[in-house]
Amino acid sequence: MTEVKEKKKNKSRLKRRRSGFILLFLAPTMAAFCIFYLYPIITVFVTSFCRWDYTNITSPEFFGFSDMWNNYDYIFHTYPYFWEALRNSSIWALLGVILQIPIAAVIALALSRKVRGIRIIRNIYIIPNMISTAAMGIIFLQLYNPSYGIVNQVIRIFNKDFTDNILLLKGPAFIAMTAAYIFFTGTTTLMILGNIMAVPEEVREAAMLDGASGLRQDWYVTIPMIKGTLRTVSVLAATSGFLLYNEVYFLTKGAAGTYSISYVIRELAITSPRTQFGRANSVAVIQILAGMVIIVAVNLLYSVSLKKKEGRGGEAL
Amino acid sequence: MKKRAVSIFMAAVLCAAMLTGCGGSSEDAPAEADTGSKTEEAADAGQEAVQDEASGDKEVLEFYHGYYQDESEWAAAQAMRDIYDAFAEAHADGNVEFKPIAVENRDEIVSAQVAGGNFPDIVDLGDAGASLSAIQQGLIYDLKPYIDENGLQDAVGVNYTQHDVDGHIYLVHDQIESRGIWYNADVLEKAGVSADALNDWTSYGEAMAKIRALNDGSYGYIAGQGSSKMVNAVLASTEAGREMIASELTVDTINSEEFAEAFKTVAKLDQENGSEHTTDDNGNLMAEFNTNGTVGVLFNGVWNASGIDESLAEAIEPALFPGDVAIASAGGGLAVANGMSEEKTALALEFIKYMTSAEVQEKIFTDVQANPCNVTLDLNALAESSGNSITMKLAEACSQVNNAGTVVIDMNYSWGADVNGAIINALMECAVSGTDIDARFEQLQKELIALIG
Repeated sequence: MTEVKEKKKNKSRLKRRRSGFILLFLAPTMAAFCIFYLYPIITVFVTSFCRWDYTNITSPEFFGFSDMWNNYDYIFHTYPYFWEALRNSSIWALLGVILQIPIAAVIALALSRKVRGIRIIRNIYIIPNMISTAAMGIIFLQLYNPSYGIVNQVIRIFNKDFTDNILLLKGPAFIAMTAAYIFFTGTTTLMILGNIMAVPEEVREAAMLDGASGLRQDWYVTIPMIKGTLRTVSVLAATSGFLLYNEVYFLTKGAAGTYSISYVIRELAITSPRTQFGRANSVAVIQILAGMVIIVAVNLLYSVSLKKKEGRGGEAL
Repeated sequence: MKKRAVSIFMAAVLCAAMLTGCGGSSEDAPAEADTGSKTEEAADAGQEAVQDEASGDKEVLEFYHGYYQDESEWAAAQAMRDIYDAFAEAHADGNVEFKPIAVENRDEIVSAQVAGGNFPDIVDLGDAGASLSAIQQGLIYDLKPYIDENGLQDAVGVNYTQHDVDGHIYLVHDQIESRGIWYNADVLEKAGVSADALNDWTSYGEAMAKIRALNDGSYGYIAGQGSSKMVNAVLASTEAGREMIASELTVDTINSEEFAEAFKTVAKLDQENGSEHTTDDNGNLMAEFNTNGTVGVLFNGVWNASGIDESLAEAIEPALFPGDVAIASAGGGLAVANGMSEEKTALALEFIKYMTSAEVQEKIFTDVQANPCNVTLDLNALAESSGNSITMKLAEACSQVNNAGTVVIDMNYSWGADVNGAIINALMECAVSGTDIDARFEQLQKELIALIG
């Protein structure tokens, strides 16, 4: 009886010690998370219900329960660029998933082929991705230059009299802005490529024996096997599209209907001489919530498509 | 046992790494300012200064400024640093040490300090306007009593009126952001127009049409950023408009006929000029005026004198905006922190006096190539004695601005950068052929009313 009790005691002591170690190792990360993520997020959330501008920069003041939605009311009903920015950022997030990821996946599949010179091509492909988005903005500013930029010269092949600056045309400006970032898929491609390389050779060989090679093998074997990575990079692409800032700053500064949520936050907090931190934080709260919705939506999308695939589990190649 | 020892060791390493990381943060902070070798030295100097202060050897007056560029990159930055160093040297034996610190991220440093309820000992805010939140919190020293007691009204020039906030002066800018226009006489001549065509907006528009008609790649002017200065100048042509620019933007101003007239006049000119010659940053197209000589007019400040290519030095001339209008703004400038020790405050005020003194102001004109704030200087005589053609051109431009029939502040400062940005965006969109200017103006009105709300 005592032996059993002793054993139980030892077991629970061991368990406690193990939990202690786990906590000890987790503690630095948790502390960093709380200080650098949780605390600012809570601050942003709380101060979005406060009057916080140049008049009380060190002491945000709660509006009171009856007026607590003042900042949101201003952002939703008065501020002229919010809805435009939300729409643009949402479209960029969507394009990240439906355009950027397929492009990255196709390139990764191409780069995974074992052909001569593929290593050099891989390296060349990565070079533009080492250029900062700020520098990219400036490069695209030259490409879109109406006098000597290549884009206007191409347009002039079809329309001889075209002289306008496409960055100032509503519609084309948005497309031009999108083109300035969406094709730069280096990191995403590398992540997908790494996963493709990890697909066991035996699986490919088995597929070949079943008569699947080339594109059929990619579609029915490789892509389903890297679905986890595709889901992760989709979330990353969607959120980075939603947070787009540098391209707006360098190419249009919001002209021709190209405001983004991040740019609006800067306008309110920095550009405005009234330092409207409270209002900027209410936009930031919406940005955080929208980011969470994007993550959930992408996960749902992949879950649904996974279930569908499972449903067709026995389908022949 | 071995596993346990390894675990404890690992935990200790993690904790040590964390402590090292945290410990390093305070020392790293000044290093953030590092951008070039000069900046690095200055930041180190700043750090030493703080250490000296902490050790109680000597009080240190830290002076943050944005002239961090290497001499080869921008000679004016070195000229300004020399001026600061001369002051530091002259006061090296005093009880307070003067430490100039060059930083690239001056605005961020000031914003961060103001957000925390602090302010740098002295800072040159440059063209960044006064921080309303710093003034509101009482963080900035009121320089007006010192200026009045020492009779420095002429030395600070336009600062005395433009920086007056309810009877207080919180900023003094040693150089004035002065704007007229620059034109290329050769391009005008080729188009068959004289410089007199730039005297009013109607003949100006006709002159630009004639330049476009040359069809040799030349065009009227660089629109966009420059166009907001045109709106500024058109508004300044009426008494009511001048009052509007000088005060905060109101709903009445936004809905006024004067504002509508100013915007639509410029938007029409911009549309005729073409969106391909429109940019939110003059710098993007500046070479077409200063080097290629394919542009008739450039709306830029007097400082453009130093950017003119030698081959075009004869052709490019300064002038005023149509209607004998100039834009001169004190902008930001030097600000002193409130609540410092008496000795530190005294040295800071001495520095303001030094920077606006005739001796330093001459250097700002000849070496920095900027329009000095001190109105007692004879710029033309100074330029003559320098024998430098660029300085002479600068003198001519500055004299024109200083003696213009109408001198107004840049609305970027009186109305705010967000408002100015919205006006520039609207003007740029109007430059696209076929844009309905009236509709875009109505939209702008709504935007501006919302922005000031």
